[in-house]
Amino acid sequence: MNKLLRTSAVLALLAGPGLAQGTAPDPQDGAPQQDAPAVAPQTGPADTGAPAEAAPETDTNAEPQSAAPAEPEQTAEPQARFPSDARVPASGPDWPSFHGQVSGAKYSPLDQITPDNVGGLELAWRAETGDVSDGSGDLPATVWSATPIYANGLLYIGTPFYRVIAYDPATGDEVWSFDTQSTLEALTQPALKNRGVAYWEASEPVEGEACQKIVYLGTMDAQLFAIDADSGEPCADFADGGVLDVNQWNTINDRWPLSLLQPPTIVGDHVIIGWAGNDWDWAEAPPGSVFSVNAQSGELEWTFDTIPEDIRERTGTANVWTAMSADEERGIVYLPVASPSPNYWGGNRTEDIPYATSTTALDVDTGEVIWSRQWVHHDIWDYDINAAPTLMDITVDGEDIPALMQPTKMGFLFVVNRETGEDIWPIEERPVPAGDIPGERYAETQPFPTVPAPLLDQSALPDVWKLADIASFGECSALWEDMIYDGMYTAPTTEGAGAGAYPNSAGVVQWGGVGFDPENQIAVVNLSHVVQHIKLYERDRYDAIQGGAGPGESGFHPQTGAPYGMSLESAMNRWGMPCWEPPFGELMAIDMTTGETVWRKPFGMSQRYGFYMPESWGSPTIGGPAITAGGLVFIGATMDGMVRAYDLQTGEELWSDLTEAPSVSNPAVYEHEGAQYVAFVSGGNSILKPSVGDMVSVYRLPE
Amino acid sequence: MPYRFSLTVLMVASLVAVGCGLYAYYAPLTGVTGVWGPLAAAFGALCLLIGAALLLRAGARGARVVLLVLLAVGIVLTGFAAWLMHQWVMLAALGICAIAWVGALSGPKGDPA
Repeated sequence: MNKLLRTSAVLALLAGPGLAQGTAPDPQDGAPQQDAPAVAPQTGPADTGAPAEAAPETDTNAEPQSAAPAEPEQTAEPQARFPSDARVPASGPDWPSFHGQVSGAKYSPLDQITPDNVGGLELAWRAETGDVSDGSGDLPATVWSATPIYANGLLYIGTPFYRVIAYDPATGDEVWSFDTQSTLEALTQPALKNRGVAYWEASEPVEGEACQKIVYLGTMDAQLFAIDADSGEPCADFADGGVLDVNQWNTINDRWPLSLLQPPTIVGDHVIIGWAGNDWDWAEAPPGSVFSVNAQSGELEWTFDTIPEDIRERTGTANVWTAMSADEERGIVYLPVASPSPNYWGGNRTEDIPYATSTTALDVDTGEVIWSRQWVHHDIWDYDINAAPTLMDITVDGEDIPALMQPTKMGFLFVVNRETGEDIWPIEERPVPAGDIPGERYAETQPFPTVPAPLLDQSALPDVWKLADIASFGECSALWEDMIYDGMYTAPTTEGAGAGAYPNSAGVVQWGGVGFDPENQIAVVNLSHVVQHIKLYERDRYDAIQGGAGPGESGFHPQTGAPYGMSLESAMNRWGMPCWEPPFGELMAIDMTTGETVWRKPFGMSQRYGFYMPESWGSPTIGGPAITAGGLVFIGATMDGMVRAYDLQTGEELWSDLTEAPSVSNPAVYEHEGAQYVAFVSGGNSILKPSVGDMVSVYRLPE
Repeated sequence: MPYRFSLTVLMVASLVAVGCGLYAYYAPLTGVTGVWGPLAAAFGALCLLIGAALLLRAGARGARVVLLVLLAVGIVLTGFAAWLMHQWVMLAALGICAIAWVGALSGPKGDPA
């Protein structure tokens, strides 16, 4: 999960001078954790879904063990429980959630802007929130990955200073703002982070009553605010005067608050809350849990725990720090669950944790598990599931299938039936190598999808980039020789330069996820190519190397409570150049009726010290696409701070504009007073490069 | 192109390039705001300005040759930096520097006073 910055390095290349070669583990960007209350709080929710039965007793002190993968868990009879013809609801002209729709499709039916006229797109308005810090003063740096929300005739944005601003969608005039007065301390993350707000409205509003439409904003210190969407005033009937203290449920290993960085997911009248934390510094951390509260009252409805009860105190996380998606027709919410703590050593959690690093489908009314598929068994690579699955209705071999695609850090796109969790195309359990760390457990096999093909070749490291190698007098080839690599599931080791990590916690796909055009059944995804290496250090050696230095420095992380500290570094030479061959990032489209690639191309420009690299090298990416019925893909996501439009059918770049900083979120597409707008937030992310921003840029065609 | 005029043009174009580099560094939305690349390019252009001024006053043939070579290297490197930073006005100014440099190859009409 968090793994915050780990990524950072990567991209480093490009990243500015501030990028250290050492990398912080990918911090969970999102949400706080907590432990599910053993006793039903408030409304008497059932503690549902906890896989207590799925956690066999295991000797954690024995020799290295091999573990057979857990069978996918399924409950009930899903085929009989849902209407077989329920399809993903059609999108509307608004953009009321983080991914546009709770299905995660990031699709707009608007078609005013087309490949023929997008070249004339012009700036409608631009605003700077003022909520930005580069970390040079008293405040931590900001990382702003919010997607604007268009609903109720306004454009709502959350900021990394934990304010909500409502803009006039056509002019950018501020209509109202609300300041949570939250502490501006980076309590669980290396930066002040925010990914925006969530929106709910009553299906049967009471006329004259406030808070029939509500905007929700979470804070780093685990407070969830409910604000009247019309007036910007707190909703007095929600929890305690409009504020829900989610940290009240943080009762196990409560080393840090359950940071609410990702806006909650709204499904019907349920506000479903995940949280972000810090899983690289501690072995014992708050155990993963997800809460559902009532949208108007804030009362707890149910809690879902991801870690078996008997081992919660000795591990933690396996939380949901990114967006979730939901099938509202079937009443299912899909959780992308992160890995347990600590990230790179699992000797404290050798038992099965079936919901860790999984996609888990819950009954949205009860929190009961409908099905769950674990994508990494016994995760010791920080392969958090880091993006909302994308729901899609696809036609394969003439059969209409309610499907779900789960993108992953590993570069796999797992496609399953969203009712049952069963494969659409075969997902094979294949043998993977074991490691040599005493007391560790190694899974014998891991799941490998066969279609679509992996987004990159995870069986071998990319070739050494000769330019970087020559420039460093052979430093890169020496590093390649010193890394141990036997495919993407090479276990962390104390030997040499450590285990090569490709892919790694930086993620081939990040939280922007996959967009889907339901008309053409085309999926669009941006991806990154990054090589890192992970090394474990016995505790005495780690302490000697670090000399008592605090966590997060120089890419070293203590994993306190584990017998091993670790380092995670990007594979770069002394000049900060990536040692691996370009491209560093790509954009691609996939035909979901066959799983075949429609087009694929390097995407964006890498940049360092202000110097742009050739477009053929591409850029590491964070953020994601939005697709329109007009046949366009809008996306930021690259180091160069550009926002772009591509032809959905051909991948041709048709339009671009420069913004203040990398736009590391999904754009929003909406219609207001008859005109189509495209909105980008340029907030930057130190994972890409040090620049930060506070800019909202909104485009439309000339009147 | 007369020698003295060529060097004057080179100095003016270098000065424009310095201004472009500083603008790119300080102004918002240049794509390179706040990073040291444009400052380095501005420094390179400043060196061109100083080199042209020295060349204008240089008496010995050897010194003129050395300065011309250094100016050529400076124009190429600074121009390359401007190109990598997509600073097209700066690149155009350095293009003018290059033309002026060619004009300066004609040498002085007579010994400097």
